[in-house]
Amino acid sequence: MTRTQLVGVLAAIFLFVAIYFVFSFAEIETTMLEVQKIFYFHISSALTLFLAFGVTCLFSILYLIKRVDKYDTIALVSTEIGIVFGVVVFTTGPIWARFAWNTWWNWEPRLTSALILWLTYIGYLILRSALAEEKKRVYSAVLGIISFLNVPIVYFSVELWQGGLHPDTTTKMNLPPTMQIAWLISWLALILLYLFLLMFRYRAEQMKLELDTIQYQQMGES
Amino acid sequence: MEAFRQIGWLIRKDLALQFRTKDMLALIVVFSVLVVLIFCFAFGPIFPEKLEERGKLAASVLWATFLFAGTITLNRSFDIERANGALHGLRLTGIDASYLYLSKVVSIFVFLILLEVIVTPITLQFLDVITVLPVALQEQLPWLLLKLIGVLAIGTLGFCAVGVIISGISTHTHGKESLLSVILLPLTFPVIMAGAKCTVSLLTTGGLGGNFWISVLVVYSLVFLASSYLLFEFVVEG
Repeated sequence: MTRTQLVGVLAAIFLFVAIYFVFSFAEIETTMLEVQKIFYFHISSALTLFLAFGVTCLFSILYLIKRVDKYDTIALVSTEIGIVFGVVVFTTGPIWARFAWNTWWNWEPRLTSALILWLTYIGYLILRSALAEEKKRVYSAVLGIISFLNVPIVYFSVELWQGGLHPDTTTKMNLPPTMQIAWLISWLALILLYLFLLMFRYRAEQMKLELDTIQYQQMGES
Repeated sequence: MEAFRQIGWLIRKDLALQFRTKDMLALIVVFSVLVVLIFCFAFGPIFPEKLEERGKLAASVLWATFLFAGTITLNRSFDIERANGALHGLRLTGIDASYLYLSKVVSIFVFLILLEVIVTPITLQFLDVITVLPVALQEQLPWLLLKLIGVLAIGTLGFCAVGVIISGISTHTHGKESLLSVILLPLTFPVIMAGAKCTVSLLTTGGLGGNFWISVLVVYSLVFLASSYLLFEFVVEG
């Protein structure tokens, strides 16, 4: 069994364990009842999204220092997976908001800033596809670093200005113990899922490069 | 000292190119006034009665206009450098990439500030903001305008700081005009948002309404400037 497969199996096991903990172990919230269960996946996806973009920033810096192509590939695939987690956040968010705030979408600080952050990283992917091969890696790394500067404003948006509907960042630390355990397990499951996707996509990207090289060589021979 | 001298020469070169023909300034001023007019047609002819609503409208029109104008200016700024390999020529003189960056930021900043000085009073007049202001504020109108330009200037600095580096990157792409705006607008969002909040507060109360938004505006502008300054070398290396 390869390492990727091992992480994949672990992620699957933890996802099932998380589902058990979320639905059977954690107590039911008194005001929102079962709907609150979305919390465990919504907030965990959001935190994993920040983690993914953090990895992009870190590997972009490493790429600019060391110029190893591997780092650039990791930054790219981490952005892609971050965007996927963004889709999860923006799908679970409105479903929850429909019941908790009685609206699918609300122009409140964290929602708005998170959406803009997500669009920034889509811009990163668009830029990558529009750049010529020799410039692609350096320029993407530069953008990967600058884009991360907006993450703090999204994370602290609720504390930064009033009028928001999201609870502040300390709320998740003050949960009842059963909820906290369920949340930590579901976050761990999603981190494992992120790692699995990262390794899987990285391998695919490497294979694509190998294929390109082979095709290039064959063109040279013929 | 040598650094300042070199940056000074580069700024002079950029400003000379911008103002020699006056084409660019005329184009951008006309464009900005047109954007303001479109907003006036959309919201007018009778604008919201409440000062707060009118202030919000004016602030959003001002920022939207300057963002569009700024994007066009940035798009052009690197075209001149890329044409005929001017950038390579500059690099061959042994000039530091960071000086090149600073000079570009300053020259575009000066250009946009000039635009803002011209277009802001026009916008306030078109949207009829001045007549709904409290009497105390009307009496201090020049002072209010100065504060408004000050807030716009800090925001413009943050916008130029990121804008120069992104336009340096986007000149290498196909469809660069649209790409620059798609990348630049979400990136500069903290600056735009804080700037717009400060502008609304200035237009409705005459003050900044606490230190919070102005701090966000200043901090983000400086953070953008510092990080782009450090990263620009990688953009011009190739």
